[in-house]
Amino acid sequence: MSGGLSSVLASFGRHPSAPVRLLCLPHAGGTCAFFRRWPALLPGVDVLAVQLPGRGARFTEPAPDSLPAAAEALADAIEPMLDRPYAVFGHCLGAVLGFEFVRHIRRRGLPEPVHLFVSAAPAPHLAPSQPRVSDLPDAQFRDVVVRLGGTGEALAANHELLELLLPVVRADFRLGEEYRVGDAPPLACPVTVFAGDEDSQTASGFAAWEQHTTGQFRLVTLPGGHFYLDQELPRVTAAVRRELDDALHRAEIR
Amino acid sequence: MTTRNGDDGWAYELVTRTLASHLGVAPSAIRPEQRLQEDLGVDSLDVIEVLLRIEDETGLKVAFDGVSVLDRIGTVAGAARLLATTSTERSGVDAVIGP
Repeated sequence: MSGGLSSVLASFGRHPSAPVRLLCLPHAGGTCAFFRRWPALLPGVDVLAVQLPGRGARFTEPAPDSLPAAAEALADAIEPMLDRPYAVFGHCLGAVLGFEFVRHIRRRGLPEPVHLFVSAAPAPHLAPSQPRVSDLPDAQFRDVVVRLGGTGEALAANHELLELLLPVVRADFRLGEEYRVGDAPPLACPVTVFAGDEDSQTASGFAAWEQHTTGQFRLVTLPGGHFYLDQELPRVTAAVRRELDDALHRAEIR
Repeated sequence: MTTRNGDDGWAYELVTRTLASHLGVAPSAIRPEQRLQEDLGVDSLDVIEVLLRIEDETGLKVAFDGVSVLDRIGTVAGAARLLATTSTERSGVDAVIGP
């Protein structure tokens, strides 16, 4: 991962003097812009919306070879920001990237986050619930992306524009499909999983994250599908806020 | 690729005004060098919505095709340049004709 912090992190949402940072990782094909509405809902939090290679100002950078490689490159870039309490939020592929990021950070002897927030992703050790799609021919792959919702669905009618997005989405899907979780002790940080009740993934897939932490675990189910966040963002950020406040409070009284 | 009088100011003004309204901020808060995704939190879908709205309001037609527009636009100035260099007017004398 080349490029300094200014290309890896969005400038919107930055609040460098805030007591806590929130690292935000987008879904497959997503960009840092996915988190535009977050800073206004999380005053007093330094929102670090991550731009992954291959999009926006990082358009010319190649996609990472694997999710652990992406996590390591992210850790290289983000390490200077871990000088104060921080939490990690990832949606879908971003959630698995966040999990790998935390494992990697721990291997470096750096502090785990005060909280790991997982959104719309089944636990990483489970076998995939659907057949591999990243090798599908364009037309079929496009159908899969459109069915998922979000930007793909919104662009369904505009084939030319959807075509432009597909290579990045495909590369991201491949990262997710080729990922195999390695053996490591569970994390110590509390984990909260957010999921839409109409997501095609089963509830047991979300609940299975529990084995990846020795800390507190919560599963929060909200109305909606894979992109339930579009409608439920205020409730999600309110829950994030409570956990961050609790974590800061615990740090103060310690 | 030509623009009338070589002046893209009209396109910049139009993009800034529409983008500001889309984001709910003052036009003065938007600057040409700002990166759409990283500085303004504007994704490809937002860009499309903004350009379609400009098409509706002005009668201009933006030619997206064949250009890897979404990511390569990059900045506010880039979006204005796209509008200035690829849009065509359905009728009228102020047309800006693209390649």
